Formats: sequence, structure tokens, C-alpha cells
Amino acid sequence: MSAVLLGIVSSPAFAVGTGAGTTVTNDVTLDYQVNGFDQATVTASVDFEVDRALRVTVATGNADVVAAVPGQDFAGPGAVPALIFDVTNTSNDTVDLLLGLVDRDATAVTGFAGNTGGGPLSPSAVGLFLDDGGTPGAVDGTNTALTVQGNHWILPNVTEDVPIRVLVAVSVPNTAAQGEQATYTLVAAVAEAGLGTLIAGDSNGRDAPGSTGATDVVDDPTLVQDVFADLATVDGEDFVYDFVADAGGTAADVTSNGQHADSSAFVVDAAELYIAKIVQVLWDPINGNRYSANNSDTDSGNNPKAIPGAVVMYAIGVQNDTGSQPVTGVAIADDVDNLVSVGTTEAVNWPDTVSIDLNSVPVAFDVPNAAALGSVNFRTCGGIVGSQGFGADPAEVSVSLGACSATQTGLIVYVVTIPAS
Amino acid sequence: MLKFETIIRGLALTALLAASGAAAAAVALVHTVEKVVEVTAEDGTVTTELVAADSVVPGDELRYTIQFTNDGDSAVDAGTIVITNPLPAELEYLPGTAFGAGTDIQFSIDGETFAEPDALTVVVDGVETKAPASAYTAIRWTFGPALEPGASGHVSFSARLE
Repeated sequence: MSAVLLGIVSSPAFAVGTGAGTTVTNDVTLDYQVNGFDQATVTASVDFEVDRALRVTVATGNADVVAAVPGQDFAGPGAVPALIFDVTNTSNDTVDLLLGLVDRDATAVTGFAGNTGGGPLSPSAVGLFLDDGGTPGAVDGTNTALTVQGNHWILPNVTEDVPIRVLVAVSVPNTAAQGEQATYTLVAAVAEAGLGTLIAGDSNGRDAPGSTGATDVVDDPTLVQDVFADLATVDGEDFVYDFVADAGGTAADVTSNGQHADSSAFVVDAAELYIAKIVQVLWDPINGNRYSANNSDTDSGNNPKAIPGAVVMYAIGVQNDTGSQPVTGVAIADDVDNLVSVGTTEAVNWPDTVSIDLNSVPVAFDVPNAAALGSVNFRTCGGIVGSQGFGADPAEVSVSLGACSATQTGLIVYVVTIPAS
Repeated sequence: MLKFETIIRGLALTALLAASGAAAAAVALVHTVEKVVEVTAEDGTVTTELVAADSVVPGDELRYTIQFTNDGDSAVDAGTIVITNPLPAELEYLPGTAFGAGTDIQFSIDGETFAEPDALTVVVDGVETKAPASAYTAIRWTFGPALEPGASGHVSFSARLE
């Protein structure tokens, strides 16, 4: 007889795995007839007990190196981008997970773009956090710091198959150089739930790194036995952690050792700011103006010289390099030589643009059309044009150019007068 | 008269049933479970072996064997031995592993109605399709021949612990 049975199949749930200690019972029945008469149903049953398969996975959520900026401090204000790792207990029981961090210096991370191998970067501080803050993937002062146990960290009572996103953040000295790299391997190991005690070996005689003494014991169907079921990591840079010595190991992670690992890296991406200053005589009492009209780049044909009474222009240009990190708080300070006086009362013509070499490349800067001869004139990186007075001593220039993104430029320009003899 | 004969026949049937009970077949079952493991020889050849299911963790493959023996004095009628094995919820049947010499094997996805695999369908996203083996909840073997006294047979299947 055949039949068509209709049912609804839903998408399979992510397999948690049958819990350790579960008794799986399989019942079977046999029905039969003798001489056409039904006989009593015969039954039989067999069962086994599920052992504890200990398995953990670590996988970085980064596809590329993470930029680190000199001076960043994960304990300070602002959001500091971090290395992302997803840690999952894929055992069939709740366990604690111990987390160790192996400093792999500037080792290239397999598959990552942006490895430089430079440095290595030596952070001033390292911290592990949950990615539960206000800025995903970054530590911003609202993240939960993981509990420290000696040189490692602990995630207590981790249930099965629920990934936990862990962030590794570093504080970077402001002396760190462009391209320095810090590669870290995050290692997770299984530990007894609620106790934080490393599970040092399994019933198959396999030891956790740093441990010895596990023996391959005879299977006992009445006991729930431990079996390390973790996989080896694929990439050679993923070293083990020795939770017995509480220090990073020196060998690659292997299968069935009760731990798993993955790596990610920081690379210092410092802002490249260029600054240069030029000087140009605009006017002297003998030759007059260099430029034919105010805010014009057309030469008048005159060639004023730096003689007493001459008016000299100083222009300072800054530029954030292409591909550089955005910067904030760009401020220019310039101490005007005491031998000159600031500003002028003469009818001096400004140029329309000035050319300033930055990193050996000439860059044209617009001189503000309303530039005042008695003030410090500026154009911020954000394009705000204005002017301000000089400071004391007896004359100082101190101008804020604000935030500068990559390729943006800022300028300050002012004139001084060479005292008449 | 007719009514009387019917009664007599009824009495005769009752007696016959009692008599057959005295000399009835008594089928015994032996149910075992083993773990399927892969063994790699020195030359790299991989074979499978059956070992005691004492150490079992999720993902392991298990082999169940059900042996039936006629310990009685009478033969069991042909085509009447029906072995039914509901699958424990923790197990997923592995397709193509059900075996039983001389048996007709059917499966169920609701535990009540049994059919050949091609006749079992489910609805996925509104489309009727052949039921996957993972949807099976029970297996049934129907043994075709008569089982003479002292004779035995066996059926088996494999499943994976979820």
C-alpha cells in the first residue's frame, strides 16, 4: 500500500546537539500471527547515554586589518575600533570559556588585505570587551569588560550555540609609526561551567595545551565522559594558549585539544599632515605692488624687494594626505619675528592664489578675497573663511583650522612690514 | 439451526485458539545498538567498524540491529511479522541504511501511516515535494516468508545522533 502524506517541513533549526547525559532509548515492537491469529506484541528496547562533546569555535569578524591611530585610548572618550571575534560554545553542554590572547607581533593574517608586517606595534594597554556598547565593533566606554583571571579572561556559563562577540581593543602610544602591525590570536578553551576550571584532558587521553596526564580510559556507558571534539584552525598563525602556564603557546592550534583560535590584526594608520610656509614680498616703497590688482595673479611687472618699508606676505598651508585618517583640532602657531611689525597701512595687493609645495608637490591655495592687511586671514579645512587678530609677544599667530579629512587643505596668510630704516 | 452451528463454530474457534496458544510460536527480540567508526589503515584505506556504543557524542553514527527468532513450536505465518521502530527524537535516520532480508520496508513521517519513500511527501514553502529522510519518524519492516521454529532473521538501520 502506498500513501501520500502531507506535512509541513520548516527550516531546520541550528543543531544544538543532544545534551550530555541524555539517555536515548529506542523501542521496537514486533507483531505476528500464527495460524491466522494475532499473537501478543513483542517489545524490546535499547539505550545509550550521551557523552559530553567539548567543542568551541573562534572566528574573527574582520575581513581586513583594523586601523589603529596613534594616541587612541580605549579607556578614554570616543569610540576606538577593535578586533572582532565571535566565540561559540558548540558543545552539547554549558561550559565556561577561557579566553587567552597570543601576541603574534606583526605576523600576516591569512586572507587579510592590509597586512604590512611593519613594526611590530606595541600597545600600551590591551582589553577584552563584549560588543554590547553603543558603537558596534568599537569600544566606546559603554562596553562590558570581560572578567580577568590572571593573564587571561573568562566567559562564564556559556550556553550552546549562542555566538558571543568579543572585542579586543588596544591603546596606542602616540609615537607609533605608520604601518606598524599588531597581530593577535584569540584562543578560547573549554572550562567547567561556573567554576572556570580548565578541562585539562578528555577520556580519549588527549591533553589541553600545557596539560599532561590525560589517559585513554575504557568507555563507561554509565558515565558521562568528556570528549574533545574541537577542530584545528586552518591558518598557521593561529597559535594555542597555555592556560596552565597562563601564557601564549608557540604552536599552531590542532584538533581535539579543547580549544580553538583565530587571528586578526591592527595596523597603525596615522594621519599624514603636510605643512609648509612661504614668504613673498608684495610691495616696497620703490617698486610698488607685485600684483597688478588686489586678488589677482597677474604680475604688475614690478619686482618689489625686501627693503625697509616693504610689505612681506607669509602663507602657511596644510594638507591631509590622500588616504590618510581624518584628523581634528588642527591648529597653526607661528611666532612672528620681533624685527618686523604685523600688518600694513599701505595699499598692498594680495595675490589670488599662492602655490605651496607640500611633500614636494605644489598645491594651489586660494587667498581669501576679503583678506585683511592688518589681520591673520585663514581658510579652514572645512572651507570657513575668516580673519583674526595677532597675539602678543609682540606678535604671534595662533589659528585653529578645525578638522581635516583626507586631501583637505587649510591656509593662513598675513603680511608684515619691514621697519623703515 | 444455523444459529446453533455458528455457536458451535464459535466454540470450536475458541478451543482452537486455546490449543494454538499452548503450542504457539514465541518470537523473541534482541535489540542492539553500536557506533559506526571509521578506521584508517596504514596504507590510508578507510574502513568502517562497529564498536560498542559506550562513548557517544552528537554527530556520531549509530547502527541499530533487531534480531527476531522463533523460539516456539509453531511456524509464524508468512507476511505477518511486522517490526515497527519509532525513531527517538534525538536521532536522524540516515537515508538508504534500512535493511532487512525478505522484508518490505516502509517509513512514516507522522508515526501512524507508513509508505514507500517515493510516496511520502511534505509541503515546503507551499510546494509538495518528496519527504527527506530526515523527516522520517518511524520505520516498519514486514517480513515476507513464514518463520519456522528455530529460524531467525534481522533488520537494521543507521541514524545519526543530533
